Amino acid sequence: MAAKTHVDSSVGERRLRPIYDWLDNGNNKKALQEADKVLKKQPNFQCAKVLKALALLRLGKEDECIQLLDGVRAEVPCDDSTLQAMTICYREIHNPERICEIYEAATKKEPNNEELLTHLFMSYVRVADYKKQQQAAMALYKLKPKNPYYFWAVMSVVMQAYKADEKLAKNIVLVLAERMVKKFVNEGKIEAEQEVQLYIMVLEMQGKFEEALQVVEGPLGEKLVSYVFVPLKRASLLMKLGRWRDCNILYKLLLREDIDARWQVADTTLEMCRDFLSLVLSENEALSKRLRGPYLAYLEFYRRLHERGEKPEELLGDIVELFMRYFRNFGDKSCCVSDLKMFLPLLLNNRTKDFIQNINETVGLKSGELPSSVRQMQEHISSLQLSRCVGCHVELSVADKLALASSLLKYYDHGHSFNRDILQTEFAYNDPYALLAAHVLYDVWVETGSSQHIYDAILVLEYALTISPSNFHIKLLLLRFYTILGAGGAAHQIYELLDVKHMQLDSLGYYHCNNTFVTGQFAVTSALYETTLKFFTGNYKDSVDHLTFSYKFGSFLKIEEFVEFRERLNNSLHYALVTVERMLFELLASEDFRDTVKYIEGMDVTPEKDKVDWENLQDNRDVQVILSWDPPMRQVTKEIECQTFLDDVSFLRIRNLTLRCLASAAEIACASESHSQDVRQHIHNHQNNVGPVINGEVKEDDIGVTHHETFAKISDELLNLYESLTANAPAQVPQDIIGAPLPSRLHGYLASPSCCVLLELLGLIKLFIQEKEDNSLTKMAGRAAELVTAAVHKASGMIKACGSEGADQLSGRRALLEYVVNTVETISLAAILCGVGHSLVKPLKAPLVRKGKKKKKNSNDQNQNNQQSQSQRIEVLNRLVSDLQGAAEELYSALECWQSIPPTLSVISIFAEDLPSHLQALCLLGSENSNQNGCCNSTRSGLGSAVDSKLYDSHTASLREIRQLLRMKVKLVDKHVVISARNAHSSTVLLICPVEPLITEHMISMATISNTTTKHKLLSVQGKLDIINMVDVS
Amino acid sequence: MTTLRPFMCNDMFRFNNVNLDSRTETYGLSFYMQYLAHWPEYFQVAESPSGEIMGYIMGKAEGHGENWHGHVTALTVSPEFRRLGLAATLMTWLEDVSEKKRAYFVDLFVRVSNQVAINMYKRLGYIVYRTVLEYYSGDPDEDAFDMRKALSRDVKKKSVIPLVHPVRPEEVD
Repeated sequence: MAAKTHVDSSVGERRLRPIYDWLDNGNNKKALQEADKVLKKQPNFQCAKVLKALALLRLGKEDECIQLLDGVRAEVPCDDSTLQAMTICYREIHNPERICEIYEAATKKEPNNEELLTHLFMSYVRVADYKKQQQAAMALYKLKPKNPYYFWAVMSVVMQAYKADEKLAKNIVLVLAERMVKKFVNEGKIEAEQEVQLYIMVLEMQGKFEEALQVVEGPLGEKLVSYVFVPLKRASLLMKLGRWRDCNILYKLLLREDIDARWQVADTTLEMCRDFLSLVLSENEALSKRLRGPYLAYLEFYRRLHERGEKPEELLGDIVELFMRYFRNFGDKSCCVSDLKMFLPLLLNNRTKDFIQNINETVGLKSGELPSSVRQMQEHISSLQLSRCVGCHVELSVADKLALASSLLKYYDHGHSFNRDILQTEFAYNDPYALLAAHVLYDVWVETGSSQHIYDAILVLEYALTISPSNFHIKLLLLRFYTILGAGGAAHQIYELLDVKHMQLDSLGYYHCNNTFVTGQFAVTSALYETTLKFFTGNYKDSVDHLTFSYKFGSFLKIEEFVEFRERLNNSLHYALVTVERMLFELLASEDFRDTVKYIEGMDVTPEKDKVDWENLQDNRDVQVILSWDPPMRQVTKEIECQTFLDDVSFLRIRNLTLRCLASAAEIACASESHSQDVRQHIHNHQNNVGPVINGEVKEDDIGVTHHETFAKISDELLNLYESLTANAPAQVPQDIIGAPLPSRLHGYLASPSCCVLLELLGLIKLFIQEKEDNSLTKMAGRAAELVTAAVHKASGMIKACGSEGADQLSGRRALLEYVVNTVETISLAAILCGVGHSLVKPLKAPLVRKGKKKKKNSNDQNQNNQQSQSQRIEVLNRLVSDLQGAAEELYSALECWQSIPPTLSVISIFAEDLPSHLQALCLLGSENSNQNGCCNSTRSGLGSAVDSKLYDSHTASLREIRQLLRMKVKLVDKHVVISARNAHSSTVLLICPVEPLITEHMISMATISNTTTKHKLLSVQGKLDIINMVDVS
Repeated sequence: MTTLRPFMCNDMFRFNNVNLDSRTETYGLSFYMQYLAHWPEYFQVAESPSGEIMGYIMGKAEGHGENWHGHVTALTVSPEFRRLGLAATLMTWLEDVSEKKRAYFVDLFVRVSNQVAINMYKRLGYIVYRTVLEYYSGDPDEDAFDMRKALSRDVKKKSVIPLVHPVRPEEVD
C-alpha cells in the first residue's frame, strides 16, 4: 500500500511538473491547458485542481479560481504540495486568513503532522495573530520537543506584550515570557545563542538590567559567540544601571582599542575626562594615519559642557583652536564640513571671523591665487564650504554673489588639471566648486526671481556632469532646477540617470514623482505611479516571508523591527497619495463616461468608508538628500519637514474625499440607471400579474437612500475640509532652503478653482437627487461654469503675457502649467459629474410606456410638474455642458498659442560674461565660433543650445500632452450632449443651444406622455410610499 | 569618529547618500531583509557623529567543511566619507565575525574593471583566487574576480591557493 502511494505520488509529481513550469514562465494559458489535461485523466487530483485555480487567477478569472479553491478546501487536503499551491493562491487574492483556515483544518485531521503544524504557525505569523502563534508553537513543542519551537512560543508571547496597550498587561505577559525562558535555563536546556539573546531582550523590556547584565557576564553569556557587541552591550547595561565607575572603565578600555569609536565616557571628574582625551589624542598623533575620533571628541566634550552651562574654554582651551586641530588634519577630506557642521554654533559672535581667518591662513592662498596641489584645492573647497556654513554668503549683494559665482567657476576650471587620475565612476575633485557656484546662483534666483540665474546654474551643472557623470549631487540639483522651471520632461531625463528604484521610490518619491503631473508630463506620471504602486503592493506581500524566516533562523531581535518596518511602508503617505492620485489620473484620462463608471466600479474605493489610516500615516521622505552648506536658519528643520508633510496630508485629504465623492456619484448614477430598468421590469411584471415584488422594491430603495446619504455626507465633508483649509491658508516653505521639498501640490490646488467647481457640481447632483424645485439649480451650475470660464480666461491671459516682448518666459512657467493642468482636471471631473447628472435625469426620458389605465388624475398633475422640473434640469445640464465645452475649446486654443510662442531664451543675457573662456566656449558658443569679446547672445551652440532644446522640448511635450487630453475631453463632453439630446427625441438639436421657450413647451408635452416610471422613480427616491403598490391596490 | 552598529530596516529610508552612487546597487527589499533575518550580525552600518550613514557592509556565512567561510555581499562607502579607511574598518568587522564563527576564509566578488576596489582588497590581504567568467550581466557581461583571504583556522592557507583556470558562474558554489 505504502509502495503504491509512493508510485502514485511520483507519477502525480511527473504530471504536475509541466504545469509548474508554465506557471513559472508566466504562461498561464498553457498552464491551464496542461492542468485540464491532467484533470481529464485524474479528475480528483487536488493539487492539479489548485494549480488550475492558480492559472485561472493569473488569467484574471478570480471568481472561477475561488470557486475551484472552495471545492478543494471542502475536501480538507493534507498533502504539502496542494496546501502550498493553495497558499500561493490565497496570498495572491490577498486573503491570508484563508491560509490559516486550511492549515487549521489539515492539522485537525492530522494532529501529529509536524510539517503541517509548522505551516500553521507560519500562517499565523503572516496575519500577526500572536496568541494563536503561541498555541501552535506549544502544540509543536509538545509533539516534538525541539528548542526552536519552544522559543517560537516565547517570542509569540513577547510580541503580545509588544502590541499590548496597557502597561500592566505588558508586564504580566513579559513575566510569563521570562518564566518560560527561566524554566529552560534552570533545566539546563538552553542551546543556542539566539535563545540567550531573546532572554536578554525579555529582561531589558522589563527594565531588569541587573539580571540582563548577569546573563551577559554569566555562563550563558558565553553562548553569545557571533555577538561581537558583548562588551558594548555590557557597557550600555552598566550605564542604564548607573554604575558609572564600571561603565567608565569599560568604555575607556573600548576606546583605547578603537580610538575612532563613538565618544562615550561616563561621568567622572571633568579633569579626568580631559586627561583621558589628551591621552587618546597623543596616541592618535603617534599613528601613521590619524583618526578623526579624538579631535571630534574634544569638540563634543566642549559642546556638552557648553550645554550644561559650564565654561568649557577654561578646561579645554580656545574653541577656534579645537576646530583648527581637526582642520589641519582633515581639512582636505570631503567629510570635513559634515563632521564640523554640528559644532559650528559653538563659535559665538566674533569667533566666526577668527575661525575663517585661521582656516584661510592654513589653506594659504592669496586672493586670486589658484591652488597648486589637490590637497590645497580640497582644503580651499572645505574653507569655502565652511565660510558659507557660518553665514558669510548671506550678506553679500547680488553683484557680489555673481562675482563669487564666477570666481568659483575660475577655480573649477583650473581644478580640471587635478582630475587626471580620477575614474569615471568617482566624483571629480573639483566638482564641489561647480556645486557651490550652483548654490550661489540659486541664492541669486531666490533674491531676484529672475529665471536667468537658475538657467545659468543649470548650464554650470550640465557642464560639470559631462566631466563627472557619476556625481549624483549634480543630478539631484539639476532635477530640482528643471522642475522649478516647469521642465518636467527634462527633469525626468535626469531622474532616469539617478536610477531610482525599490526603497528609493518611497524615500525619494517626493522629489520627482509628486511634481511631474502638474507640469503636464502625463505619460511619465502614469509610469511613475505604476512603478511606485508595484513596489508597495509587492513588498507588503513579500516582506511577510522574511518575518517567517526570522522565526526559522531564530533572529528574534529582528522580528519586532520587521513588523514595524512593514507597517511603516504600508502606512507611507507617499503610498497613500500615489494610490489616490493614480485613480484620479485614470478618471482624468478616461475617454468615455461608461468607461469611467466601469473604472470607478472596479476601483478599490468604498465611498462610505475612508480607508486611509490617518493617525498612522508615515513620513518616509529622505529630506536630507540634498547637500547644503547653508547656515542653520536655511537648513531643512524638523518644522519644515513637519509642515511639508502636513501639507501633503491635507492634500491627500482633499483628493481622497474627491475620489470618494466621485465614486459615490458614479454609484448613484449606476443605481439610478439600473433602477429605472428595474422599475420598468416591475411594471411589466405587475401588468402581467406576476406576483408582488414589494420586498425587492423596498430593498432597492433602501440602497438608493443609503447611497444618497453617503453622497450627501461626504460632499459635506469635502466642503468643510475646503473651508477649513482656505480659512487657515497653509504657509509655503521659504524658497531659500535649497534642500526643502518643493511646495506641496496643495498650494497650487487651492489657488485653482478646482475644489470650488467640484463643490458646486456636487451640490448640483445633490439637488438632482433631492428633486428640489428651486433656482439654486441654475445658480449652482452657472457658478460652476463661471468659475471654469474665469480660470480659462485667466490662464489664456497669462499665456498671452508670456508671448509679449521681453517677457521672462521661464519664470512663471511652472506655476502657469500647474494652473492649466489643474483647470484641465477640473473640466474633466466636471464632465464626469455632468455624466452623472445626465444619468439621473435620463430615466425620465426613458422609453415610453403607454399610459397606465388606472392612472389617477392628480398623479397626472404631479407628472406635469415633474416634467417641468425635469426639463429645467435638462436645460441646466446642457447649458453647463456647453459652457464647459466652450471653456475647453478656449483653453485649447490658448495652449496652441502658447506652443507657437518662439523660445526667446537667447534674449537672456548670460551672467557668464567673465566666465573663463574655455567654459564660456563650451557653454555658450560652441568651440569653433567663439568670439573674443565675450558677447554671447548671438549664436548659441554647444551645451547652451543643448540646454535650450531640453527646455523647449520638454515644454512642447507637456503642451502636446495637455492639449491631447483636452481634445479628448471636448469630444467626451460632446458625447454627453448628443446622448441627452437623442434621448429627448425631437428636441435633439435644440438642447445644445440655449433652450427657447416654445421648444421647451414642446418638449414638456412630449415628456408628458412619458410614463409613470418617472413618477415612481421620483417618489421612491424621496423615500415616499411606493407608488406601484398604490397603483396596484387601486 | 565612526560608529559601527547593526543595520536596521529603517536605515533603508535614508541610505540614499550611499546608494545613489553609481557603483552601489539598490536591491529589492527582500534581498536586504533576507540578510537581516538570516545573518543580522553580518550586516553593519557605519555612522558619523551627526548620525549620517557613512557606509555599510553586508555579508553571510556559508559552505560546508573546509569551505565554511564568510562572504562579503556588498561593501559601500558614501563618496563624502571616502579616503578615511572606512572600508577597511568594515572589512575587519566582517573578518572578526567570521573568525568567531570559526570560518576558514572570507571571500568576495568584484568586477574586474573596478581597479580601485581590487587594489584596496589587495592592500587588506586578499588575493585573486579565480576569475568567474561573465558573472555580472549587462551589456556586455563582465567577469568577476573571486578574491579571498585565509582566516586563522585555515592554518595551512589551503583556501588561498589560486586556481589557474577561470570558471563559469554555474560552477561557483
